Amino acid sequence: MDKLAFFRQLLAALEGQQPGVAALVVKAEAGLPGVAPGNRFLWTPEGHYGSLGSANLEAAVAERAREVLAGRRPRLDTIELDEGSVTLFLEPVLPEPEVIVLGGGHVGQQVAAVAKLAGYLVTVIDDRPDFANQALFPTADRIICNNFTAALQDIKITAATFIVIVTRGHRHDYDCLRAVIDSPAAYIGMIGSRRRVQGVKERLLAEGVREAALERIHAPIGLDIGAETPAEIAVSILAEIIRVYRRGA
Amino acid sequence: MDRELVQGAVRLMEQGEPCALATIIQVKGSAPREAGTQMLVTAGGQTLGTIGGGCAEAAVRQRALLVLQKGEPEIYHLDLTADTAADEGMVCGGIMDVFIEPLGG
Repeated sequence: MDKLAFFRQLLAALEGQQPGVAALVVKAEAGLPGVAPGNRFLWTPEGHYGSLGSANLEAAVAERAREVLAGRRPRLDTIELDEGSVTLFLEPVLPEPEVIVLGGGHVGQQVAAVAKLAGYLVTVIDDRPDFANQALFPTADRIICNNFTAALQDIKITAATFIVIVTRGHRHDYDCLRAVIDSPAAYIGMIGSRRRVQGVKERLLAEGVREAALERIHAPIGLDIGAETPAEIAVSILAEIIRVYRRGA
Repeated sequence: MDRELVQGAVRLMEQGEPCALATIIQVKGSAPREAGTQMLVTAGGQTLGTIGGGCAEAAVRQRALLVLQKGEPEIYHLDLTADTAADEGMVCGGIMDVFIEPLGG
């Protein structure tokens, strides 16, 4: 596999939001034919690409992969082989965190802007063309104009997805929540008064949704900083998302 | 791993444009960017991405052009703690190892 093919594969993993570990030989002792600085290898749970020039080295990467992914940071490892030692740069390939904004109203617009500022991929969904458009969301990566349930069926929700439900009415909130409640999303937050949130939750419970599933919903949404304006609310929502992303809680 | 940078590398290789990829593989002390940060340098001296700007980045860019001529990857060792670094106004004062490799083209 030449370098171009390897980098295409790496790009596909990044774009497909697929986790993996990229290994790069940065130093190799003489006496290891085929093992040269610049050799690259990509480990993913589904398959392996590229070559380090030694099956033992690739096995060493596979052995360390879960630890490197969990550590979230790149590291240098020196591997001792019978023929000599090799230094590998091991780098986690992590899915890019994405914020899905459901509802393109005043709060949704600010959430999309602040999420982009914080470096997240941003997708906006609304069923009204007057709200799901680029003029209102100039920095969003993706704008989908469709009804919420259909749109949510079409997009991929992963453990790197953060869902913000800020639609214009409780009927839409309910549709959105029902569509994502069993997804692997890292975060589900829903705006609304305690009463409105409670109403939606009770309806889902009556339909047989497990109580544990409802407990993961962040509602009222956002950190309690006394936010009042749409922009302030957006900051409090992103603060909560950043905490979940960086600290896992 | 930065998607835009990998995209840039693929694009340059597809166009047959020689370029070098610089990756910070180790940092000791206080350096402007962490391990894993990457920058692409084309044969024309254009860069994509940043490894922290300033003199350190300029030095890596120069070195990358040499690596492109030589055609062999290397580890470039930058000592930002030296007196000269302070004289040059590099404020961070750490040690940085950068792996520079030629890509396709």
